[in-house]
Amino acid sequence: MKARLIHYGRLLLSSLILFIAVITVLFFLLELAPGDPIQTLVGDVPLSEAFRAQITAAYGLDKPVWERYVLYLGNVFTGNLGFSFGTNNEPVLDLILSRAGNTLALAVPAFLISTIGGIILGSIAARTRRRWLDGGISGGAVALFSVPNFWFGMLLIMVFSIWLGWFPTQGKSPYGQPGIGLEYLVLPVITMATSELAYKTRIMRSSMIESLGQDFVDTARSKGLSSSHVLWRHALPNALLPMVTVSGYSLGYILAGSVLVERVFGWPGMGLLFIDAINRQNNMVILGVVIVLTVVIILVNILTDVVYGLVDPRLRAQFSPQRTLPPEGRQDRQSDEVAA
Amino acid sequence: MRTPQKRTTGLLAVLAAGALALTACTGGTAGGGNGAEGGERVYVQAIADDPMGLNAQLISGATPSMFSAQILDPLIFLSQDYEMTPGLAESWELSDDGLDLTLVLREGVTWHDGEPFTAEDVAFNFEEIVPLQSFGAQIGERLDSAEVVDEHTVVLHLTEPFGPLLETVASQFMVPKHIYEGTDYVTNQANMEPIGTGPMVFDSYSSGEQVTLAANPDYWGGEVQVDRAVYPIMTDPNARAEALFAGEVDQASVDVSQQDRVSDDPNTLLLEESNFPQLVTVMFNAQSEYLEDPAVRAAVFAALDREAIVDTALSGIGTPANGFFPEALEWAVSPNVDFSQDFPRDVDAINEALDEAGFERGADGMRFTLNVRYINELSDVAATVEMAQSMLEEVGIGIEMQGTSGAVFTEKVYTESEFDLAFLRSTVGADPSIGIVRWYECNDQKAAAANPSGLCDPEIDAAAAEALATSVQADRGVALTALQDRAAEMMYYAPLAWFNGAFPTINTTRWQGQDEPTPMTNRMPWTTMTMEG
Repeated sequence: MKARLIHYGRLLLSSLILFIAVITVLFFLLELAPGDPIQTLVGDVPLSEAFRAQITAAYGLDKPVWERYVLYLGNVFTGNLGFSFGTNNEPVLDLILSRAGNTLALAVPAFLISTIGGIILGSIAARTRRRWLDGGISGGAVALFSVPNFWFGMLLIMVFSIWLGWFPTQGKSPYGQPGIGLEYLVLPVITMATSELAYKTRIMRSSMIESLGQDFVDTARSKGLSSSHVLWRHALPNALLPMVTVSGYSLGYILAGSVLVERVFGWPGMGLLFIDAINRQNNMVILGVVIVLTVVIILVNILTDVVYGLVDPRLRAQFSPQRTLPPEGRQDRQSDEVAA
Repeated sequence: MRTPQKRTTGLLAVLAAGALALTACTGGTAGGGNGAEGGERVYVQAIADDPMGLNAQLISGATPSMFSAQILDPLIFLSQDYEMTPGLAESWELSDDGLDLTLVLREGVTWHDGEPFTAEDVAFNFEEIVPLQSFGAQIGERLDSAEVVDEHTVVLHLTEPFGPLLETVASQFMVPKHIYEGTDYVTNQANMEPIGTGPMVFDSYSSGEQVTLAANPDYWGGEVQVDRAVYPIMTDPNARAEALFAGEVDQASVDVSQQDRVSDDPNTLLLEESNFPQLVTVMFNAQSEYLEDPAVRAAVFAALDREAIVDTALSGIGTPANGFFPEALEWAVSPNVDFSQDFPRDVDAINEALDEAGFERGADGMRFTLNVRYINELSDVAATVEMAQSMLEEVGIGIEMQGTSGAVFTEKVYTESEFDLAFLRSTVGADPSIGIVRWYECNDQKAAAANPSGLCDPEIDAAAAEALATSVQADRGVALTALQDRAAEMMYYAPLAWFNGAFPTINTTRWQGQDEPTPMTNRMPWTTMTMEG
């Protein structure tokens, strides 16, 4: 038990360091970026000195960059992500929260479809004796995984919105109406889910093949259990273990990937907010979106770790007093993923 | 061994159920919203970006300016033909010495929140808000006082005459004193939710989705014929075009490459007259080692085939520039400048001039290579630069195309002077002294959106100052003529084409009379347009 606490303590500490590093690097990178945010805000016209003075004072831009950095970092830890740089002074956190629901409306279905679909397709591919079926699923997975999702999205728009006219091209509901229309949800969710589905299918297939080759499966078969019972009740739970890790990362990928998918479908989520902010040099919003994504990804990784520890009996054994080896390799890989 | 496995499945099931509940829930709201339109006259105009404010007194991008033009009123209306008509001021009179402008205000006008509009509001605007505005700053520098004579009369006392005074006053939207006084002007909530006196009232804004306006039932200028206007934010130009051609939106800005389709479709029409003329220009860095000599600059300019640019890069919209000022500004156009005479595209003569200037062709047939900057998002300008590449190659000049974002363009061209040629689309604006002259006069402060050549020509600066210091139009015309004549000799900034192809396009299926001229640029004819059926 103590070993496990030490493990989680280390995980939390490294996450915290990572979090601060992300903010620091990005803050100073944005400071170094070319262009004058005030001029960008005003547009391609001369800037009146009086306006520059007022907005500089209103946003504290006259303070030295170190002071602003320290202030900002302090604010972040109290939950204040600053204010959107504009003439409306909207809190960044409010802005992000107002968009987060729209992004989740895409990400959660995409996550579920890709996870459940990946488990089913991967298991079928691993088990089937029909070569063409395995070849079709595995080959299709490689192809779809290699396709950039924004391009795939444009392709879907062309075929299903413009040629066939089945789904709308853009937006999340008819103009001037609140909420999310289901027909608007279809194409972006498919776009988001596709490459993750392909990836998870591949992982699931190899994990299932491995699982099916193990002794306990033979034991189950020799007990006379039906082959589907062996597959779904004995082999599957074991083959699912790698999926816990993969699914944890995949949520991060889906959220980060929403930037491109939302741009293609004009979906007003966090991704579109992020792109707008980059175009306008709205640095506080850029930082805010990255911080929210970083926190979500870190939390998901911690959660994945906890869940993994709970479901994998071998890990529980590792944490027992006899053996106290933390799973070093896996931890390193997680940090890489977050940084990427 | 089975317990943890069961736990995983259970966890997954809970996750799944939760997510399904979430999607089902959001799906449900859309179903409820579908029937909301019955009988309401709704105008739909797609906008290209999520506005960071709707008050054009502070930020001047295309989207804030468009919204301000529907919600707020200026004192004087100025049309795209430069005609002045009464706005919030019923009449105005400038004293002979050009120092006192008396404005008599319309009576019975109220702000959208019901407060009366008075001379106090006008005085507050000129003292506090106008100096923050790009061009209003020039009035601010010269304003001695804004005197409230009575509830409906204001006199602006200036310290010196200001040539484009009325045009600049006409470019200022009035905002309410009772909302802004004593607040931080740049972060006031009313910048996003403006309260004005115009035909449309701000209704709602939803970040990333849309802005909605409603009719002003008490509009002083007549009865508004639209109940609601919805402005969905559609950042993708292709999506805007498709929505417009499909009739899903009544108005949208579409890419210039779509304009052939616009002219083929009987239901769509480019609103070429909706704003002050725009122009595509070329700017020279006179400090570049290749472009120091005015003769070389003139040769480069002559090598750019302006007719071909209009025909191909600009899809045949607009006219090739034949002088520095547009013809709509008749009183200011120099009769001595004629680009087709002064800078003809005579390849032999251009080659000769470049040889004479000491830039003979090298072994590879090229004389030198220029670093060309432009803004990627301006697709019309990008197309112009692509054509310029082959035109210049013909006379032995290579170009390296450096298309970037607007922010990088601003920094590289204006601040760091790291360019040889720059191409841009800009607007003529309300008056040559505020819209055009800044591209010619000395800019040693390296301000953005002004002459980036590094040249300060005393003759041009003198002419510019003269045009600013008098309010007599004939005298201003003489000064501006001198400026253009000298600009032709120096050649460091010149228009290639007058081009209004970036203006919005309308679909006329649902609404009639959208293209009626209005007394003020950028404003829709809300009181006269009618819905079909």
